[in-house]
Amino acid sequence: MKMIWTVFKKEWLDTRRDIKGVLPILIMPLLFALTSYGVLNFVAAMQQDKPEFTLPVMNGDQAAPLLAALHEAGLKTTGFSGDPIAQVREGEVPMVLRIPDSFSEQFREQQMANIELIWDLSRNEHQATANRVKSVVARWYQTLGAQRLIFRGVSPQAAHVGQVVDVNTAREQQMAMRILGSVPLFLVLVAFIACAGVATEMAAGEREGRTLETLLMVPIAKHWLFAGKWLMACSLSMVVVTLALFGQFMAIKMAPTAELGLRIDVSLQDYLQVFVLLVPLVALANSLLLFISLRARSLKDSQTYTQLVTLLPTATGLYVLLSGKSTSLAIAAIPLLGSQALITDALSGLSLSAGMIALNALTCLMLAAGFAFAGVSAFKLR
Amino acid sequence: MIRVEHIEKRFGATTAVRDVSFEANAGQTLGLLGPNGAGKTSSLRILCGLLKPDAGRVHIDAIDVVKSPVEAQKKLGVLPDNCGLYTRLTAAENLRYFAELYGLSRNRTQQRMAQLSRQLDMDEILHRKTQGFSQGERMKVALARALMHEPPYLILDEPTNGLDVLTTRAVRSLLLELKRNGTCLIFSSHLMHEVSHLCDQLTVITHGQVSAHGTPEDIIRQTGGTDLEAAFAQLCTSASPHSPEHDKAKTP
Repeated sequence: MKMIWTVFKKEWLDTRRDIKGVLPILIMPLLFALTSYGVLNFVAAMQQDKPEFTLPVMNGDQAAPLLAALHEAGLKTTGFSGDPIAQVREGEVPMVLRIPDSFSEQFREQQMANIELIWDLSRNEHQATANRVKSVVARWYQTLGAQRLIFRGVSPQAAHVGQVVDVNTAREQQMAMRILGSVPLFLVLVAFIACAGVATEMAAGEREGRTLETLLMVPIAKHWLFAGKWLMACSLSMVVVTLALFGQFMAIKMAPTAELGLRIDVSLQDYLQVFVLLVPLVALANSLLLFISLRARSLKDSQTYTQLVTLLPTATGLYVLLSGKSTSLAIAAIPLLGSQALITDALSGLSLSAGMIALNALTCLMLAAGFAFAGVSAFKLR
Repeated sequence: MIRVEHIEKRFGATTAVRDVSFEANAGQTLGLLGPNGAGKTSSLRILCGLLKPDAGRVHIDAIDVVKSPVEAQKKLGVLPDNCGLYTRLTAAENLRYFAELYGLSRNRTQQRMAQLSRQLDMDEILHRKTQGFSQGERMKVALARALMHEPPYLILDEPTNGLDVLTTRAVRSLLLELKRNGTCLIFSSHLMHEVSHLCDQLTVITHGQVSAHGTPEDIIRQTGGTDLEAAFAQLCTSASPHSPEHDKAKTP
């Protein structure tokens, strides 16, 4: 143990003096916190500054009651003349409500009186507005149809047999996490790559600086040397992870989530759970990084390989973000992917099973031990 | 006693060490002489437990270096050719780190550091970061590091390479003092005057194998040369794969 402590102390001292190497590590959590805060502010600003929508209507005089219904629903309208298809295609107007010339006549005759909403379905930004217009128009048609049935002595329910009603089981916090989906990704990235540079310096750097030869001539078993370096990398990673958690806590606390209609209430217990989930991940990441750096032939090789490692949490993070699946025992058992899924659950306010946390920690630590074993055997001159 | 017997080491298709054997006793100084790339450093690395030989045996006081490298390394102090210092640490921090790894107590570390600093005239550089040190300053720190735990055997790989006259004299005087105190020194060099000043025994390695062994006088006599330099030059030429002597020796 004394040997581990000796190596640990030396590596801390050496790393502390490498300001250029340490500064980016400490800035990383701050940048991630600022990104989360910035994204939330940007979304809020976008919603606040959104210009009021005015619906261009062609032949509006043919359907005055419909226009009244649209105005009542808060939609402004304006008259439109010209080629609606061409103008929508060119993006000059977002959409046009075209009322046919025959509309008033068909309406009077109580015949089917259709209207057209002309818009570009490939443009996602108009999706919500088009749905809103269609919903108001559909409601107006429905009300009108019901009135006609009543006028003829028929109950409207005879024509309206039933409808599918959405029942949302998602908690408000889960909905919020759909927007803040990048937070678990940031946290896992920090845990996974915080010490990539330090690990490279401690392993491949020794080879490059030609200090490895001297170190290997010291009469202590190589696993103590590896353990000292690994412990140093893990301790620095934990400092950075703690900073990252604090940064995300502050970002969420200070961001205008209420203005976005989001309720994010991440308790101290949730943060503690996330911290517990990140500990085995830090152990795994630093074992892997040290193993890669010890296997690499040069410092440059090591830097190239460790850069590739950063893709791992990004890939699993995107899977968790996009799949939206609930965390199963099988997913929890996969190192990294399981950690990311469980962290997302914890931040979404879902209660985590102790079994899943333990299983995830066990598989992460087993893999970490495997990489450590391979790393110790790579601790030699070539 | 250090005993190296018929060691061989290959790196891929290249054979760095073919059949090297030598011995060194307490208080004795053995010089490994050889041109660049002869296999001196590889032989010393095998002796230090850094490389595993493909054949042969290495013992330090009856400890098998291949089987028990950690036990064997406890008896060695090593000065590698590149010094291998941590440049962000001061000279004192470098010495303290290795003293701790060798298991020295804090008091003993302080005592040895003061003693070696005095002997090697390092007081002015002791608390400076080693980045930017001259070759001589780096050498002094590396030598002090190798001597911190007072090893009975000291291995030096080209110890006075690139040193100025004053530093060379300081190092040489320290090595002679260590020899007088019973430390066994094994060092590689290609500087003849240094070898003749310090060594009791010489082993000349050329092309990965021992081409001569004995006292400096023995080697001069064996080759029929006038001095050690002429003897060494003749040994190197005759062992060259392109020399007529070498071709003649290979003809059945």
